[in-house]
Amino acid sequence: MSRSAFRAMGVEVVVGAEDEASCDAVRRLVYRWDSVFSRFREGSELNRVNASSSELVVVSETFARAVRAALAAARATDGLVDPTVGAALLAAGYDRGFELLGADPRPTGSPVPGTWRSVSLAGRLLSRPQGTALDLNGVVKGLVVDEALRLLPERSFVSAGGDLATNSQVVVALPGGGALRLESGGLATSGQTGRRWLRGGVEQHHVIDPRTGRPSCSRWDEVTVAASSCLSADVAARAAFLLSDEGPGWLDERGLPGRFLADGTAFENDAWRLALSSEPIAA
Amino acid sequence: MSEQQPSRIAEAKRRALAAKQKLGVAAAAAFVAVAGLAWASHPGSTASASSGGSTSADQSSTDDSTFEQNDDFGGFDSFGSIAPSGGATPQAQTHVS
Repeated sequence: MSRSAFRAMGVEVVVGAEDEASCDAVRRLVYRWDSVFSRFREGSELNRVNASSSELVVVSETFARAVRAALAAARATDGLVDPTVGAALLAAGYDRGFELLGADPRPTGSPVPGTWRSVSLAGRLLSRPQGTALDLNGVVKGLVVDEALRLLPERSFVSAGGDLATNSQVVVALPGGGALRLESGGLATSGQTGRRWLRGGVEQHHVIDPRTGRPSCSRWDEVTVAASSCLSADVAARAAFLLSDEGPGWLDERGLPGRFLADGTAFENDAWRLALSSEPIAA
Repeated sequence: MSEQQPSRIAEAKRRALAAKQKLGVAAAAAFVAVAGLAWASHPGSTASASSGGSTSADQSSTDDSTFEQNDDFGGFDSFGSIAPSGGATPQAQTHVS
C-alpha cells in the first residue's frame, strides 16, 4: 500500500491505497470540497451563502448534501452538532485561518447559541433566518473522507486531520499512546487540544457548545469514537466530547466504542472495552 | 318540411359550436398542465413560489449534477468494527485537528 499526504481544509489528508491514480482523484475531490466549504476562502459557496441577505438561497447539490447531513446530525445529537455555530466561532475570535490567529487583546463577542431548528432544506432551496452564519465543518470533513474512500480500490484508507475511514484492516495509533485495528467503518477524534488561541487574555478553542454559544468547557481533552463511517464517528465524537461526564454513557446507549482522554489519562466506555477484549468483537 | 330545415341546420351549428368550445377548454387545460409540470420540475421553482413577490432566492451555485440525493449521515444504527492491534505497527493515526 502506498501512502500519500497533502494539505487541504486546514489539515493533513492521508491516502493509503495501492493505486496512485486513485490518490489523485481523492486530491481533486478534497480540493473541490475545500473550495465550497472553506470559511477562509473569499468566494467559497459557504461565504456567499452566509453573505446573502436573502432568507432563501438556492445552493449547489454538494452544499445541499452537507446541509442535509448536518441537519440529520443535529437531530441525532439533539443539537450538539449544530451547523449554525459560525457566528459563535467569530465571537470567540476564530475569524481567519488558524495559522494566522495570534493573541488578540480585544474581548470576545457575545455568545451565540446554535439555532439549527431554524434551518431547513427543500431540495436545493436553503432557508435560514437573516444573519445566520453556517459552519458545516462539523460534517464536511467526515463526509469528504467517506466520499473519498468510495473512489479507492479495496485495501485503502483515507484520513483527514486524524479522522479516517477504511475498507480493509488498518492499524491506527491512538491519542496518548496505544493502537487498535480498524477493520471497517470510521474512527474520529474530537477535542480541544488542537486549535487554541488567546482572545482578550482568555484561551479559546474551536469546539463550540451550541447550548452556550461559547467554546466547550468539557472535562475531556480528546474523545475518540469508532462507528460505521467517518462521518458518524466524527459526529458521535463531538457529541460525546460536548456531553462531558455524560459522554461515555451516551455512546454506550448507542453501542459506540469511545475512548476519552483527560490530563493524559485514558478512560474507555463499556463498548470500547468489549470491542478490544482478547476476541475481536463487532463494535 | 320547409319549416324544419333551418331548425336542423341551427341545431347542427349549435352542436359544432359546443364541440369547438369543449376542444378549446381541453386544449387550455392541457397547456396549463404541461406548463405546471415544467414549472414544478425547474430547480428554482420553489424559490419563486416561496418568494411571494417580495423576497427572492439567491442562486449560490449552478452545480447540480455531482451527487445523488441520498442521506449521508445514517445515524448510529450500524457499527464499524475495531479489534486489538496485535502489536502491529500503525499505518495511520487518529488525533484532533
